[in-house]
Amino acid sequence: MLRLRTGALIAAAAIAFAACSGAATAAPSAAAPSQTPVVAPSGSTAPASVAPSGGTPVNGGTWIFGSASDPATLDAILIQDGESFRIAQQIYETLIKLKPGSSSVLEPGLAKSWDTSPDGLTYTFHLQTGVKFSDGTAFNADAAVYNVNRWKNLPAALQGDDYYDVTVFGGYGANSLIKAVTKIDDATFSMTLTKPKADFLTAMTLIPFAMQSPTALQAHHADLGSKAPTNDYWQKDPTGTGPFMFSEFVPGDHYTIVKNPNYWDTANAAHLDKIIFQPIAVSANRLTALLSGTVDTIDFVDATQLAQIQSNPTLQLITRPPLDIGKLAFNQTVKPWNDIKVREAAAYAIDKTALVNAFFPNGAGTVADSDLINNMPAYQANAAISGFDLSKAKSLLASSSCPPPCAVTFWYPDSVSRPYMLDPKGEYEAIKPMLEAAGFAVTPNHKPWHGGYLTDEANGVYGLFFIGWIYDYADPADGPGLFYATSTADCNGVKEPTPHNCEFGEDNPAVAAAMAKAISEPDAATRTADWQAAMLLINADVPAVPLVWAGSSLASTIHVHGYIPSPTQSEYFNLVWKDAGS
Amino acid sequence: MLKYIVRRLLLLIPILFGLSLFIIVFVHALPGDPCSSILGEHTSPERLAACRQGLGLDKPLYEQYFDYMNGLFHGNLGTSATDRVPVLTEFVARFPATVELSLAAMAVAIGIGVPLGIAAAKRQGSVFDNVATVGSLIGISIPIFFLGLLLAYVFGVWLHWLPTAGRFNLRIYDFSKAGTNFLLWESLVINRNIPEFLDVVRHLILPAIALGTIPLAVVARITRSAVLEVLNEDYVRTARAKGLTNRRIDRRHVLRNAMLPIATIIGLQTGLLLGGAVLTETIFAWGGVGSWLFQAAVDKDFIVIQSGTLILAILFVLVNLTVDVSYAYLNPRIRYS
Repeated sequence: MLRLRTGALIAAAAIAFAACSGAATAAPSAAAPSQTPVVAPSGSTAPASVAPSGGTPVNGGTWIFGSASDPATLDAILIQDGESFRIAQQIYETLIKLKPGSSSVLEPGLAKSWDTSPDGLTYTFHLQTGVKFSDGTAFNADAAVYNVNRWKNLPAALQGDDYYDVTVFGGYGANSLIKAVTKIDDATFSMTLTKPKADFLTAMTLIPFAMQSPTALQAHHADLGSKAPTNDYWQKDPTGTGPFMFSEFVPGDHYTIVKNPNYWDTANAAHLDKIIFQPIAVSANRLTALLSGTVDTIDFVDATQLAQIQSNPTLQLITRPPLDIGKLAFNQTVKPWNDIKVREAAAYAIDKTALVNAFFPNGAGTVADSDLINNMPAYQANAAISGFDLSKAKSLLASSSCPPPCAVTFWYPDSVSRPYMLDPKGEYEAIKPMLEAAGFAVTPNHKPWHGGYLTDEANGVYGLFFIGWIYDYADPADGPGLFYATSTADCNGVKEPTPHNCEFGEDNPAVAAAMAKAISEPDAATRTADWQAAMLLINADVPAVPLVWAGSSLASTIHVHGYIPSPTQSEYFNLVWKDAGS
Repeated sequence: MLKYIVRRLLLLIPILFGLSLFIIVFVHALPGDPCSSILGEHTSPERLAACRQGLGLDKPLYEQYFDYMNGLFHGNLGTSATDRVPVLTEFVARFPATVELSLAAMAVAIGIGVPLGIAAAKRQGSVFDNVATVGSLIGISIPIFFLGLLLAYVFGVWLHWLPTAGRFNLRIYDFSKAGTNFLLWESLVINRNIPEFLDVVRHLILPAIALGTIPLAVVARITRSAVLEVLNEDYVRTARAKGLTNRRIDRRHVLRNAMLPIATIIGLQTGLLLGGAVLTETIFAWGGVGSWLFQAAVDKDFIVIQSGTLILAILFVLVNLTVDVSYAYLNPRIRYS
């Protein structure tokens, strides 16, 4: 989950928030030693809309990008928010990249090829040669080993800030999934894992696992953490090998990167001379800034603005393929949701088409029927719940342990707008009469998103609630693999005798076993089949009502070309160019 | 006078102690904490607990308070939980933007509000007076976010006269060399670049009007009532009877005596603007302290809220002290002891 930095919420001003997104992973191939680029099963490879090429690219110019907030950090391994991802993607590079516009197809990055050992534990990376960081120091196996060791043995001052490091590698030192990092020669190194991880290669495309200059990190005392006054690494000198390099950061005002004149991959050198990211928290004012010519491109367009942009001949809409899921979830440990008939009744009672048409207009979202997005390889239509059927909902509820009027509490969050949940209160008000028509007696309750809602939800306090997910990569391991995983923690302070799931109370051993098999399966095709089997079991338990698959959109002047939107926001700005004189 | 100033400054200590205690209790009484903002959806209770432990939020409140005060006494205002940037660093970087905006807004408020209030008082009961009174009532009542968006749309999108975001034209100018972030000063005094200065002024106009409208209305109303009160004083009647010109009466007797309440309200409004430009800064993408504190409040970034508010409280007290000291200049009868 890329953290969505919430920003200005000003009542009636149609405020939108900052944002999010993610990065990538896909099922890798592995079993046999593989040479060169691994191409994962094609997921969503085609972008939904691409800024028109507009002819021959023009070099030069300044592009002003209206973002939603400042980056939170640019020390790559600590990055977890969308705005930091966006900038880091331009100044840093990973060993493996995602193909532009894809959420799962892998391409060489700083590694020109890689091999996997037959046991799936050791990965050997063959590095590009002649690559230099923007500070002039060499990128080689020593630099790569330094970076990987930093992930594995993250300094104490930084621990806890590294969301993706912990999520992918599980911990530090002996607790890390990384067992050993070994330099083989100047252009080759290997990583050995403690156990197979099927999505390891795709996880390596995540920008937190980018290569940074050891010299710059040390010179700015980045390992001392944020409390050290000498650590000004990311604000003054974030140093990578990418097509752009840092120029200036004025907090709250702008972040500037300029073309790297010594970029190693000359065929993919940047067209633009300079990119300036200007944070504009209010979505209405981002659009105003675009219309007034203050900025060239804006991100996170409101659903209500889509029609206005589409009808303006001076603008273009750039839409990312959906990779977000919004849902109405149940906690099976809270009565009456422990009864599957009650959950099924609620699922059949909701007219999702009406809901999506009302709250995600102009194609901002599509009706969902699964935790998986319909562009993922493992997706299959939900066989357990066929769709809206009020009479079926009524009869299920009548025969359940909670006959009508079945009293339930419906939780929705305040002070938030997420891509998959643009208007939580409005959506609640739309769903309430649908549930009441089936025989539920609904009592609303709400809390601020960061004012207790997320914490209570994670601790398993709510029985019926809104929640959703923005995938970091198009793999079920990053969705259901997280949602329905069991934990050893107590839920809401209640002592749990065995590992369990706090959030949804989904403690079906068959589901846990099926997911464990899928997550560790190295063969892509088998893995897809495993996930399909696991999803059949999950859907049969009806842990939630999937409501909407949503993406996000950018708007730009028609003078901007070459922008390839990515569902995971892995977007490469070296491909972007502007009309001369624009 | 010096003794008075020192005593007022010493009074800051108990004020800040009390304020720090109030803020920390108030902030922690709000539901939620920064960990939900940091970890997002579908986190586990273990990671939430680890995050809270890392930030010291698992300790009793009194212990957190002592840790915080201990840091303050050692000159450490803390570090943002969400951005990992020291509070003082971020404040210093953003404060110049807020100062420029606040001063520009006060220039609008004083430049228009004072003459308007005087003119209305001197024409009491006239159409002009009634229009000014109704206008100032509207000015006080209009929501800033509405006015801000309206101004941006009319002058930015329809008329294309003025920019709607940021502090200068990022395509043309570069303020990275001096790095003071006081752009009016830099462009005019350091760079001596008039087009650059005018560009900064153009960017200031809309946010300054949006932010200055309420103080303008307040200043106009206070000025009107203060001037009306002085106009009815015996010494004004005497001056008029002595045959002094209206201009001389206004300058020497009316304005001088009416300035005390006006100066008080200007001081209070300036202090409020320094920390209260939240909506204006957010709407016009103005990288100042207000938008920063607002983001911190949304993210429940306790340390930023605590330290940022404390710094603003100190500034507020200092601004008001300056106003109090200015009384002695405005009215020599006032003596401080």
